[in-house]
Amino acid sequence: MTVQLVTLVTYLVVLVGIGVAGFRRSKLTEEDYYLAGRSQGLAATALTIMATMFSAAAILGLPGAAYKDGVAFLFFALNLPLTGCVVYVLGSKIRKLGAERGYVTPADLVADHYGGSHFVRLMVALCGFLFVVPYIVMQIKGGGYLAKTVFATDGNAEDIFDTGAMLMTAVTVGYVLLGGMRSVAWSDVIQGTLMILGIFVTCVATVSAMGGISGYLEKVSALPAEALSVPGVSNSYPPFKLMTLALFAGAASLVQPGQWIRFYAARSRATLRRSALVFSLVLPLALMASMLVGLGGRALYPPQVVDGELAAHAAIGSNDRVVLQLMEDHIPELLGGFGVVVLSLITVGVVAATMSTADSNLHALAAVITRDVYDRFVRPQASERERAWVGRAVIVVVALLALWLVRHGNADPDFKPVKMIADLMFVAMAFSAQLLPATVDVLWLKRGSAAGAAWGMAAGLATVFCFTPFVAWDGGRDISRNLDVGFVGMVINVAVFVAVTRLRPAPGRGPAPPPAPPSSRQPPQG
Amino acid sequence: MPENATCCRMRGMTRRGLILTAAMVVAIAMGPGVGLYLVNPDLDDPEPAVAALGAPVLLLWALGWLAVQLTIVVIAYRTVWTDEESDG
Repeated sequence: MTVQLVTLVTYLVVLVGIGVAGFRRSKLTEEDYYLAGRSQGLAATALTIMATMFSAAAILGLPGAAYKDGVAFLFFALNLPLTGCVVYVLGSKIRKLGAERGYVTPADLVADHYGGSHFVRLMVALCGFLFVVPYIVMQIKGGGYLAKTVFATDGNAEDIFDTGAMLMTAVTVGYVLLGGMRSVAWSDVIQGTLMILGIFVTCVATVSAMGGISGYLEKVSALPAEALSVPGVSNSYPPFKLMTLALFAGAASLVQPGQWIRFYAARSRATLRRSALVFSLVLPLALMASMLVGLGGRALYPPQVVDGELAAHAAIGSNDRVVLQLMEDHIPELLGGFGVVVLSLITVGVVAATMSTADSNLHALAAVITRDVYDRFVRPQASERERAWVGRAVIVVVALLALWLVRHGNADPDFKPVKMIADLMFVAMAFSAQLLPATVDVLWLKRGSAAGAAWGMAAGLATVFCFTPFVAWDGGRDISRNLDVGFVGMVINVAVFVAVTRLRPAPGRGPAPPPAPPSSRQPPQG
Repeated sequence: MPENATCCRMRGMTRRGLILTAAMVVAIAMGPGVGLYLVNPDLDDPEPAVAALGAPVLLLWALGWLAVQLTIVVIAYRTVWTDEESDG
């Protein structure tokens, strides 16, 4: 406990130091605050993209899902190599346009293509907003939950939850405020490295504890047949759902504002090309390793039937704790005395997962609200310096509001807003995916109209909303059991996009005017 | 470089890119997609074939197609993406 506490405090101090260092190198311009002067190199770009994608939900939840559902969930990792390709293919085009025209947010690029349409800008901002807000709230909640899991002793769990959530929020807000993108990216380098190393060490420790690779495979092969087949124990992962997830989920997660801004911030096309390769090779293997931990956990701590339902083993408590349990059990066993230090570093790595996602989303939300709302609709005459300070104010206000919600939700289980936000997080990526059709049109096809793009996004968002718990309908449950919800929204989105574009084409691209009547034609010569 | 040479090189690059894109789509359809029906253990069978070569069949299937996907990315990085970059 003491070693873990010292490691955590040291880590938080380092983050504050990074914030100060970022502040000393910063200039008071939007381009510098949001995009680090468009000068991010390979390490910062690759690791910040990976760390932003790998939230606490990924570190704890994905192995938890593999523990619960078995091998079926491993196929989720197979969306990542394609996602790596999207980093380059999409990212290099976005970066080029951003550098040429001074774009900062996704809406800058998309709305500009459609003639500066306010409707398009608001829809793009809404796609981002619906992704970012649930992530910020749930990362802060995750920080409190992790603090409680790691540091709580009898009777002080709620106090530790509050302290953890507040400390994590304060430090994250501190370094984002001070250094902007520069500090966020530098801290993501540390956080991403800790997370990835932590996953691989935990995987090695788990496999080793189960008797090496052959022992691991033998024990896992002896799991019940439902855990070794598709659609998994809870019947949640049929092949069509896995396929639509693999095809679209990765791309959807890359058009969210936090990632889009990272494309603008990359120094060059070569930086993104190399980052894409690093992403494609490292992240799928890390994710696969984390799920192998979950699968091993299922063999070591089989779920139990409680009140007629399958629940996590009593020693684990909940599915999401399987990684933490295996870390505590087997890393000191593998590494001896040094294992305690490594365990502390990895625990910090798990906390880092919450912070690296929260910082990116807070920073991106500030850009979206400042550029797409404040600058366009509130004070168009605001100076760049004023907008940079408004962005900082947004970060403080949103973080405090999220912290208040989380603390209230923890104290009162009936407090509905946090539960509603948690429900929205499950479809956050599906909301974000609704920006994809317009993005593809802007970057490659160039055939859509502003009205088509905006109404397409509106229809896609509305479709996704129909699959949230707020709109309970049996058909929705059947569809979402077999297909990715984001994909369903995109189908509707594209259909509306095409239909409205035909009805209201872009200027200069409408149907050819009818031929002029013969009387108005020039008389034939001679 | 003569115009037609650039044109042919561009055409070759596009062809390679298209082949790799098609290969990635096939890898996704076979790996986490409908290809799973080829190897998924039949739970109605009293003794479903969940393991092969001492490992769960679906684990081997996932790792195999992951390896294919990673190979495609490395080829794209070394050939298609490099060519595109030199083009501008």
